[in-house]
Amino acid sequence: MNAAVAALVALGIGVIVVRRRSLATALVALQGLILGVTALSLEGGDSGTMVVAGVILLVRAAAIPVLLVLARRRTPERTLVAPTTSVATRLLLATAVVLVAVAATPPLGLGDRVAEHGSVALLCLGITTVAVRRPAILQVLGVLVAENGVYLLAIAVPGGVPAVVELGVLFDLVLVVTVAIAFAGKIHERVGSGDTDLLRGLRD
Amino acid sequence: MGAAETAAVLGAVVLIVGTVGPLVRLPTAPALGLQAIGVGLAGAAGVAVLCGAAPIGAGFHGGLAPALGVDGLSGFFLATIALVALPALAYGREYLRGAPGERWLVALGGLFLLSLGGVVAARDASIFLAAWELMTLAPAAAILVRRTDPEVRHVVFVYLAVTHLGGTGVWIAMLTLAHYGALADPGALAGQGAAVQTLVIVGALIGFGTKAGLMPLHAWLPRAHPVAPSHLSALMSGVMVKVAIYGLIRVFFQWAAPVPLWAGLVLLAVGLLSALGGVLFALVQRDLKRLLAFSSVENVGIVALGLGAATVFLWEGDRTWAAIAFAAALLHVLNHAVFKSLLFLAAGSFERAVGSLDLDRLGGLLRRMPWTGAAFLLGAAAIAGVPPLNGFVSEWLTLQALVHVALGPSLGTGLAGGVAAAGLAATAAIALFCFVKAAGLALLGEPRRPESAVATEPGAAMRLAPVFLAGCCIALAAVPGLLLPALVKLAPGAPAMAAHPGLEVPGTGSLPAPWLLLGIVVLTAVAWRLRGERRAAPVPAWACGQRVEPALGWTSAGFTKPLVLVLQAVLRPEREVEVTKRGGLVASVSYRGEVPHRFDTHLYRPLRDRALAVAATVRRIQSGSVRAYAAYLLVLVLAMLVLLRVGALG
Repeated sequence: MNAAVAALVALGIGVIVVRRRSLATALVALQGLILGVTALSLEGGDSGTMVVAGVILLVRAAAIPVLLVLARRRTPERTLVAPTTSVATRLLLATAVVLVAVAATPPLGLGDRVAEHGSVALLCLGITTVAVRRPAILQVLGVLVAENGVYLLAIAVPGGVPAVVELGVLFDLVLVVTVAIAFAGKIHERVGSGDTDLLRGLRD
Repeated sequence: MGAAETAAVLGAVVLIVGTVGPLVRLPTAPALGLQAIGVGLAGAAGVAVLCGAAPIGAGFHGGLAPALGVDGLSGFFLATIALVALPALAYGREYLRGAPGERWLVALGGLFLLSLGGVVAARDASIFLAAWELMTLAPAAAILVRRTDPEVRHVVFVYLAVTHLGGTGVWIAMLTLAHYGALADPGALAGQGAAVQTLVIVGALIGFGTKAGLMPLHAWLPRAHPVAPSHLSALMSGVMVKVAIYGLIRVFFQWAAPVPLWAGLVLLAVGLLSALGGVLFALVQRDLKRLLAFSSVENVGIVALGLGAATVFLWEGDRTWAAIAFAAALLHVLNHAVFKSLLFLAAGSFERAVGSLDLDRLGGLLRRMPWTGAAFLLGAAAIAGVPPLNGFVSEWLTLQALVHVALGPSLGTGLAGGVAAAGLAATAAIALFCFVKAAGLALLGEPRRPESAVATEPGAAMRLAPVFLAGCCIALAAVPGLLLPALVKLAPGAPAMAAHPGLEVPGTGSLPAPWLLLGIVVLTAVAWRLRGERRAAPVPAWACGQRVEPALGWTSAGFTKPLVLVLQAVLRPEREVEVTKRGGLVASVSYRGEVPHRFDTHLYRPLRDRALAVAATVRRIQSGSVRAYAAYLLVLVLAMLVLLRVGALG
């Protein structure tokens, strides 16, 4: 469990830091895979919950990344969207956010402090990704990282969360990603780039 | 179920049917009839409870489950609503016929009546607040149905903005009272310490004071009342501001009681400011309805003076005079409701007949519209406090109460009472001046414009409604003493009071109202008899040898000029005289003069500008960038985590 959480947080930091959208998508897919495997390993032999965990793994680690890759194919950037911050700054920021989040996390009552710290850190990393990255696809990835943090919390709950809730959250996630990708496509169509900062020109 | 209870429930049901009816194709005449029957039944139930029948329905409770009921105080206000609404609905039947959006106006009028009744019959915070908001919105919607020009839309915006901003005070006061269970158990608030009680009192003063039109929170009133359809103006000025007074009474004398002395002194101060300020601004208005609206501010001030005196008496422990001052305020509520609605209805008829309410365009209407004109004259005399009419009776009683405050044991309250009594006396004098102007310019003399010369009486309903209310003025003037004991009984801890036809107050004598009225009737009859057959003055008026022509007549500004000159420092009138000369000869002179409403320029405008500046600053954080919002979210999440960690969030 501890290794898995460490890997998840490291991958989350990676999403903020890396330059290419394809690489970031791969990192998020890997996060989904690790989460899915952890969930499967934590489930006791109940076949029903195993099936639910398996479906979630497939969607998180395969379906959503494939959607994102397709979206990236449809919206080629002629030039790289110049990042506003340097790699070193982003790395520093991400580390700082993780440290503050871990230090500030109060006991959430799960019994597993590592999972609690990890999920809050992932949530904050996801929001930070949205805050510092400009391409629309990377902002969607930020939302996914934050969502992965919530899912980590859910699988760490002793006894698990009801399957209905887990599937509901999953459905929500697919919906959010689909809508976000559709909008990213529209933005690209209109301004010729996925740079969300260009949208501010439409204001007022 | 007793008779009163049956009447109340039936009345409410019939009123609802009459309100919904016009929207489902019921013709407006029967709908208005149903509304009148409903209001009449509810009013009758109110009178029954006021006169000693057992309270109807639920008692007050602190929860949010809807509850309705009628006790003595609610009964008094229900009866007042019914007394004004019945003639207003009859008037509306003719006034609205064929008007654009007639169905909507009838339905909204019914909704307005329902919400007025809802506020006074509410027995929990949820119904009270819901009815309170509806009471604000229904007339606003009615104004917009009738007129949609930008000027009126702006007026409605100001009305809604000011009353809603002020209305937060009502929400704060009511929810705090409900939270501490003080609606059901008046003693509950006393145990919570002075801070909670102060919060409730200040909230109530601002919230109810805004709706009642107490200065300086009155900005919406002189704007909104003139643009409403006349039968709704009558209800707004006659009843809606009184329902706000009802809320103030409940808070001051029941829910937050016993209130500290400062609350009573604040009431005296705002009452004095409203009475004097209201009548001064009324005096300098040229538009009749605007004049009447400012006069409402004045009369609400007089009611507040009575309530302030009652609060001071309660603090001093003088329960007898507290009850008399309380009853004086309630009597003035009733009296003002009657004559102000009379004046608004008559003004509506004048407007219909002449096409304008500019006092400089009216004139000579008493001969052309004898019924409406005579009713208006009587209403003007009553509101000006001419003895022995009903306005005089309640003002006399309020003045007596203030004199007793002045004679009280402590120097501070004595001084406050003395100043308030002097202020009320000055108010009465200026009100007389004001209504001599209004009645004189509108009713007497020669018509100032051709439209006034051809004015004719409206139909029977519009004629009879003001006449009925004039009859009420006389009845209330003749036997106020029969009503007074019932009103005294509504005061907290009041002693019993015997019923006399006149007014008998301990300590300072009595007002033999019926005998005064009888004497005046006899004197008038004698004068009538002595006049013989003469119909008009036997010789033309002397005008320094000039021909008498309309241009020589009084104008609104000319009549009030002496007083405006005396009060120049306070009113700061603005005038502009433009003389155009051609070839050394004066070709034309144009004159424009007005007394600006200083509250707008010196209080409301700076406040509004300050608020807009703050809003512009706050708007800067609304950058429109997704990344900025994500950054806010991150800061919020981290701040919440830190607060949780250090234990600041429980």
